[in-house]
Amino acid sequence: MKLLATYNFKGGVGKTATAVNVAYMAAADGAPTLVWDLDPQGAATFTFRIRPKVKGGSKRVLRGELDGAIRATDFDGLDLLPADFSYRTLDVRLNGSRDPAELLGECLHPLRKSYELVVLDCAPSISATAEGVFGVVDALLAPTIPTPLSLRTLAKLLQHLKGRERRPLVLPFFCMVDKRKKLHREVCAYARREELGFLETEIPYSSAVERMGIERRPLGTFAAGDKAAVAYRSLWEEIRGRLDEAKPRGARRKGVKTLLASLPRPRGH
Amino acid sequence: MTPASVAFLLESPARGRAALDQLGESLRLHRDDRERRKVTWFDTFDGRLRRADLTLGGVPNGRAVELELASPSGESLSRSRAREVGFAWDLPAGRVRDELAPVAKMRRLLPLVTVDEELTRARVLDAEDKTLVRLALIEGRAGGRSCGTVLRVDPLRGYDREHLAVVAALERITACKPEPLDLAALACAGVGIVPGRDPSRFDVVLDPSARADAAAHTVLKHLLGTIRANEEGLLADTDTEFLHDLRVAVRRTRSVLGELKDVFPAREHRRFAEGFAWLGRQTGPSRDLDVFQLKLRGGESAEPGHAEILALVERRRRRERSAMVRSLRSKRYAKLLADWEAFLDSGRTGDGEAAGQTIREVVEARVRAAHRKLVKRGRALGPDAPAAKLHRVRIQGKKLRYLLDLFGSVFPAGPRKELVRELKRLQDVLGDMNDMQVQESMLASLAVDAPAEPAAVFALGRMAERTRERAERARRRFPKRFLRFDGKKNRAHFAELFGAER
Repeated sequence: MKLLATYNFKGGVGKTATAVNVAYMAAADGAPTLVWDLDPQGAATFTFRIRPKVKGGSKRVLRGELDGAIRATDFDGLDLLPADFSYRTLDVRLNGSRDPAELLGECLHPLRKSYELVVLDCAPSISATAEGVFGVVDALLAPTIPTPLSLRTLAKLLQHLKGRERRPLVLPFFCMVDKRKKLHREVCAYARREELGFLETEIPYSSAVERMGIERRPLGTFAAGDKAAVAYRSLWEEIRGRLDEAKPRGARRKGVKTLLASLPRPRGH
Repeated sequence: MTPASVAFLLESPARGRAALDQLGESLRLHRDDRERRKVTWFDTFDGRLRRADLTLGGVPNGRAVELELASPSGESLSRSRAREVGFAWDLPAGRVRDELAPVAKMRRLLPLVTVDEELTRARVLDAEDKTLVRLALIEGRAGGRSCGTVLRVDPLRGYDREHLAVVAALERITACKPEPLDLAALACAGVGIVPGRDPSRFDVVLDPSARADAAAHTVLKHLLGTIRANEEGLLADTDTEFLHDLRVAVRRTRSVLGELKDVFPAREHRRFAEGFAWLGRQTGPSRDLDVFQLKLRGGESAEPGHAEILALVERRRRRERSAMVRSLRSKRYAKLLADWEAFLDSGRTGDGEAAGQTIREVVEARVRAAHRKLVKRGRALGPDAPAAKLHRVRIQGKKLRYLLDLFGSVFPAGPRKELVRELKRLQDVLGDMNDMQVQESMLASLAVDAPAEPAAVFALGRMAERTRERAERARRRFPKRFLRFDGKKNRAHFAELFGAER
């Protein structure tokens, strides 16, 4: 079983869209997949039309009793562990534990028999839950809008993870890319030139992604030909390739300091 | 745990549609358009999947096949999409392959039956349009005959209560009892296939008081059936086990001819014994190469020279195979089997004394003799016994094994099985040694053929070394194994079956 998390400090960058669409692609490829909606806002749960309720709430979840809370989505091989408003107390509970990552790992352990892939859709914050996630997942998917501020946020995340014993493979990728915008073009080109370790695939800005909130299902089921849907497919293939590598290749990336220092500056200064 | 799928077997498609209509009156039901699809059920020639409680269904989708591995009652275990269905090891990486590979092993997955399905899918929805329960009305036809109309109710994880409610409603509507319906078996039954049957399995039960000649004929006819059943797959090179099973049937035939010599007329006996010995020789080299190739496949593929050796073995295997195929397509082969069949049908027997005795009497005497010789030869050997002598022990063990396998049903099952188990363990050690010796000489002859690449030559050398080591290990295991076979407990089993050793 591989563990992925979609994570970014920033909100509204496409974490849920990524979790839902990547998980859908994985399940369609035959890998039994579970999405765990860890965000109390419950956007992934809403997308799958499932009631955001876990009987017993965060308390039960941390006892490792996930089995009874899991719901099948409408798609073959794709299940959801719904969000619950009580997840807001997850941090408090995890903070009280000796090792949040160990505790989360224990909760997830029984799922190994049933799933090949588990995608954790995280809330946009640095919290005990996030710390637990960092220590337990195989890879952290970091959707990033191609702007200098977003790159700065990514650099902060990398800095935060630096020097840890258990550090996930961080896979940043550009999303909501609008190639009409000069800044987006420049930041993407800059990241490639400077080898900042971004995945090849870029998710273009598409109104179909926003429509997921109305359609309430993965892109592949109502706009399979849309450029963003196509991009999510290649994103999944790229991620799968990385996860399948015997020793997943860390991104060839400059040191965090260099990254921060070399962020593009406005012209004329 | 999610409950299992259940199904209602209905008398007609119209009845099924009416049931869905009625269900729609009390529940939010979304019904898809009727679709047609072809479902092919796969299994190995010897029914391994079915015997492991698995079914593999495939539905074509463009150039690919959507595969679903499920339990016989339809509980989905895993899914995959494959270009084609052949050997489990060629399937795309994932659960389907992981679960199939240890079951199917070296056997090819073959289409058992293809069903033309008319399928109406329906879903029970909640107020948010979330699917709670899935239904499928399936009208299948295979081989021009109907496989019946089935209304299947599939549960979704986390919606057990809703599933139970729908099943209860349909029970009322259809006045039928739901059952865990096996769609693959239903399709097979329609075309007269027994799922899970192994055509090569020897399962003849003999009457201990039957005349020896009649019993021998029964056994030999069954073995002839096995030879015939494996011909097609062998000639088509479907997988390696057709040749294996055919060779086992030939060896067993030869063993019956050898051990029960007296029950056959002398002239025919000589002729057929020679004929089957010839057939054994024609098929031997191909089998040795099959074994070697299978071993290579399971071995270290990253080792330098591995790919070259595989290619080398494949070239030679092809050469030996075409020689074998020529023999099997020859007039000599056709005549041997046709004459053999005619002989068995004629019921002609020898005029020796043994023909008229009961099969139990005859076999008992043969088993005693075989066991006596085996024990005598085995006891004379120490840990440094020469290979040739161990080989003779192995042959004697085989004779005993075949007698017990083919005619064992005339003796009580309990102690016989114990005896066979110990004998099998002994033979595994001896067989291992023999395989290694065959392999070593094959490696030596491959080295002569080896291409100029030093990597391949070195790899052959390393393999030969490992082979020798393994043969040596097997040889060292022999004395202990033999002591167990010849031990008190096993001798008691023997005495229980055949009386004390004389």
